[in-house]
Amino acid sequence: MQRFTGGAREVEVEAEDFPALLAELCRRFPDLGEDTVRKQSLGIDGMLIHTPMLETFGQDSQLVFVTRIAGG
Amino acid sequence: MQSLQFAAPTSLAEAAALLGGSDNPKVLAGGTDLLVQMKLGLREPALVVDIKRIPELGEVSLGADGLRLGAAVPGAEVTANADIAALYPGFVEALGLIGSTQVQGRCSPGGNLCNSSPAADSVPAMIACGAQCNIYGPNGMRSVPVEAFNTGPGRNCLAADEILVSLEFPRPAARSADAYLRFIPRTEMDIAVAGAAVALTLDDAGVCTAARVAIGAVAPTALLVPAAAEALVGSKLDDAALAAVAEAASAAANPISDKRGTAEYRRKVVGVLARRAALIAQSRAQAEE
Amino acid sequence: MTSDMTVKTQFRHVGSRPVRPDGLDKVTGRARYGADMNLQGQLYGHIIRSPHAHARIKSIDFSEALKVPGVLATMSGADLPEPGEALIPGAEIEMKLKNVSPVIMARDKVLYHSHAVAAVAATSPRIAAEAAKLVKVEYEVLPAVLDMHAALAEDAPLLHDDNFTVGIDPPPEKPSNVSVQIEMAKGDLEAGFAAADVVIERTVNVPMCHQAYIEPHACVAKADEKGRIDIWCTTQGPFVVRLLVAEITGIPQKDIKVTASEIGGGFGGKTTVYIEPVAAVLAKKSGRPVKIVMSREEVFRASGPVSDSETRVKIGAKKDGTITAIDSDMIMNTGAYSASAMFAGVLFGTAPYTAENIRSKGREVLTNLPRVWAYRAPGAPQALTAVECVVSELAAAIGMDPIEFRLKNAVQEGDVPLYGMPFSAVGLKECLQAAKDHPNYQAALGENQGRGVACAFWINAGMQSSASIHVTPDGGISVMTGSPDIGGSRASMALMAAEVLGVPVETVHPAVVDTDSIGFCDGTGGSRTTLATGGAVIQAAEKLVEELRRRAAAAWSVSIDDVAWLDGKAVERCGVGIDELIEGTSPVKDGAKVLTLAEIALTAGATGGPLTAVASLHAHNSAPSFAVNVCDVEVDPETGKVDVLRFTCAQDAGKAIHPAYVEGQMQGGAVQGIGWALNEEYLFNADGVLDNAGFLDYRIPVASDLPMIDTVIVEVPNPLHPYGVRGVGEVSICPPMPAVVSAVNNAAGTLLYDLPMSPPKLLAAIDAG
Repeated sequence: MQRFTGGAREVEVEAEDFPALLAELCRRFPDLGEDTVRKQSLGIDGMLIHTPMLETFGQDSQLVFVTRIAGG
Repeated sequence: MQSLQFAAPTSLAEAAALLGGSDNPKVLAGGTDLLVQMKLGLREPALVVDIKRIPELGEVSLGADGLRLGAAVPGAEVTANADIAALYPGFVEALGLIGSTQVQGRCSPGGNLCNSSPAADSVPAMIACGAQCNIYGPNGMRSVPVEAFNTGPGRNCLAADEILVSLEFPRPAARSADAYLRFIPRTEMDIAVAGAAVALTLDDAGVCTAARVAIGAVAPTALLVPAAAEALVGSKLDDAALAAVAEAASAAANPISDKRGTAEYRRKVVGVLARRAALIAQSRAQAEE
Repeated sequence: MTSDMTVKTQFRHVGSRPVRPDGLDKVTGRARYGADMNLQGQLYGHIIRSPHAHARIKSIDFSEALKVPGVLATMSGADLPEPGEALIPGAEIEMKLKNVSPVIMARDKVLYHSHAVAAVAATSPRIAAEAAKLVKVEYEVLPAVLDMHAALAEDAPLLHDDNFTVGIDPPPEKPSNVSVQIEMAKGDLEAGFAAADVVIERTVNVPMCHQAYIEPHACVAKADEKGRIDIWCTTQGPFVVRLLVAEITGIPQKDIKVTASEIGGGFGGKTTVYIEPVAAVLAKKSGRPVKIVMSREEVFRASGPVSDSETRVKIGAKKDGTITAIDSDMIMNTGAYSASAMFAGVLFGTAPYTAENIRSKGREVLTNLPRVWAYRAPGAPQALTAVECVVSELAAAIGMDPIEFRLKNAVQEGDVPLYGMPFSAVGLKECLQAAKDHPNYQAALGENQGRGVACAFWINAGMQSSASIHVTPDGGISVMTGSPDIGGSRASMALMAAEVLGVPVETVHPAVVDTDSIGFCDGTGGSRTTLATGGAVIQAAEKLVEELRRRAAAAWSVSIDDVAWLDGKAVERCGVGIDELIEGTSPVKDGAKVLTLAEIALTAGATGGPLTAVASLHAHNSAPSFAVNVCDVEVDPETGKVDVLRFTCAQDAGKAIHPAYVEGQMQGGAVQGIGWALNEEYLFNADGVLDNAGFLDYRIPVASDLPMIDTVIVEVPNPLHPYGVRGVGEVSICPPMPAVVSAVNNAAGTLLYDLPMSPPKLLAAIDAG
């Protein structure tokens, strides 16, 4: 994802839920594209969401995009 | 589709006639090589001749002259015979390395020889014991030493209408013993990467008076290595003699590199095995006192 | 989104060791595996495979084959729809369908020896095999690239002329054999190495291997007049089969039912399909059921083996044992299509350590070899082997005990690994301490003996699962899931249901059912089944308990709140708090009404109908696992033969539901890792033909090669799971390779990092001094 964020590793985003997060990231980084974001798992305060879509976030939620890995 | 004929003759003459009358026959003893080869499509015989109903092929006789072993006698019958194991411990331990318990119930030392694999475990042990092959053909019986039986990988001296009838082992002298060692990467389930058999006789003072050394899986056929035997004779298997045995075995080896090991590796390890087998044979011969 | 859940710590059934419910059928030979299914009138499919590693298919002519009496259908890639750009679940990450469909049947090109090209179906296996020989395929042979370095060469022949490496900025203008490359980094690498007192750099090669599941792929497919397809097959995921067959053949998922047979091992290798779409197409074309069973040789040549890798690792440490920097650069072979787990290797190879300065790079390389697939913690063993071997060397270089060295650098709760998600409570330090405290770690070593230590990480998956519970009129419990049982999961499901319901575990009958009979379940993989499918079982059981209380309440004409569920019985509370009853701090009041589960079940018809409960979930509560291995070996310096003397595994299971099968996972992973380190490897000849396509020369360890694998289950509960469960199936294969390699190098005085450490290679290294 960093390829599309000008190398930025961490960003502060105001978003109550995943759709808002997606919209905000795509607005800020036009090259990113929804598909790139949707292909990642999302860690929310220690919970790993494999296919985020409707998740909501708290005031200071720490969100981490992680390459989606299934396992053998 | 190809059809397959099967016959189970009850006499040598009948078997030889069947073999001579087919353009693509195979002899079946235990079948532990042949059936696998047929399943893999490596062999597609037109006629399979089961020789297990021929009386001579199933005979075991142990007497003052030594051991005569019918060519279709299964390995398990030999390894279960304490008298044979006492006289030819190396040959018997080689048979014990072939396949699983189930396979040993079918596979025969004669078949191990006739399959003509350079890596056959029992063949170096037979050579070290000085065993002879009794062969039946249209012109009667002939005899060849085991070391002269195989002529290359998958090839041997049998004519199309000849049958290996029995293996004849001379009775060892007092204070004699043999040993066989092979190297495999695991503890079971592998084909020998290298093998060495040593049979020797000691005198009262523990000096080696006679020896035969054979190596396997390091040349197109198992080899008798007279130079290795010469290194033992006259010695008490001191370090120098053992080093010379290893060197002679390595020098005689003419291995290939393949999925089981490199030529360089096989050459070195066959020497190590010959040296270690000599020590085992020595301790067995000493234990006879 | 936070969890206020409490993790249960007192259990009645969970943590006990009942005999597995599937055990008796397995040891008596009654269990029905993939190849045991037969249908009236079935045909036998035979797949025609490429004799070349790289060639263009010019034509396929079935005319002679069709003349053979008994041949009723044929197929080739032309019978499958063009895949387009659709994405489907892959071995690790989502894959393009166009990288999956041609593995089932090649289209314009064959890309590896034994690549499927066509198939015939006939009334007997023999006829099918003979007819297959008569199918004429014309090829234009192309130059092949058979290893990663050949594929990376500037003028290398290309497998796919439309492959432009993903992950390069700006995107390349020329196609290549690198499908994707990534780089992850944190901190300041240069400063990290500058602060180090000792820096060690090694290149570690891990060979291509196979999962070596004992049961070959097998299936039967049947098509009815309306086009509905039934498939029986051996698989880790019947729903995965349903999806992939649909995507590959164009038959909609709603028209496909998949029943998983008993499974004889998968290890990741059965999370995809090879023959099921072929059987489905042949069944549709012939109107007869079609059975396909892959031979062992076909499994080795044409299923999905495991990536080989070359990893350069450089690590710096201070004299006090602090790791200051880790730099890792990996190339990973994916075979003919992009499918490797390179991402996992790059992301997870450094996960055990707190080092602040890390860079991890990776490239996935295409070659004319079979398309790789998942194997237990895919990608991680290769990466961790490289890192752990260097870590062990570093500990020795600064004169520190290898476990102490790791303890000094081990991650704990709150640390952030390279992949970014902070760790919750994890058990690495506990595992290291357990290994250190084990008597094996104190055992004296003799001449030619050596010890190796390694630790490892795996992320573990959650994903989607469903469970359904039915109660029989006499109080028996049927627990159904869609998760094939590859490691004792039915026993775990029974234990968890028994725990919630408060009934003897023997009254619970767990089953794996077909895709029509249960809600969606992702495959058994990612160490997810006990956690996620088990989570669905717990939820369904909890719903059932509520229903049982409701029935009792109805029978007694009281409120459900007045009914507690205690030891498999509905108990009238009579004013005592539920918690007090459950915890046993207050006794059940004299005269309180009681109904057993069986009594409620017997009258269920009169109190509301059959007793059932279902639960479906998407588990977001998975948590990573760590493991530590200690290996002692003896090396024969004259032959290069390695004997494993002692082997100790400590692994954090979170909570072991069935400890015997957790130990089984630990031991199984250890044995596979030992095999991969010492003898297992794919050997290709110069034409790209696999030279050891059988268990004779593909040398997995046999029982007599191994000592007892000693296990220590460490339990640091997963704070997100009601019982504290973590996945246990995969991390176990990560530490054994580096533990064995370090042990052998210590014993032999070598620095051999070209695996496997087969006797010829090790002897050459010993002789080279």
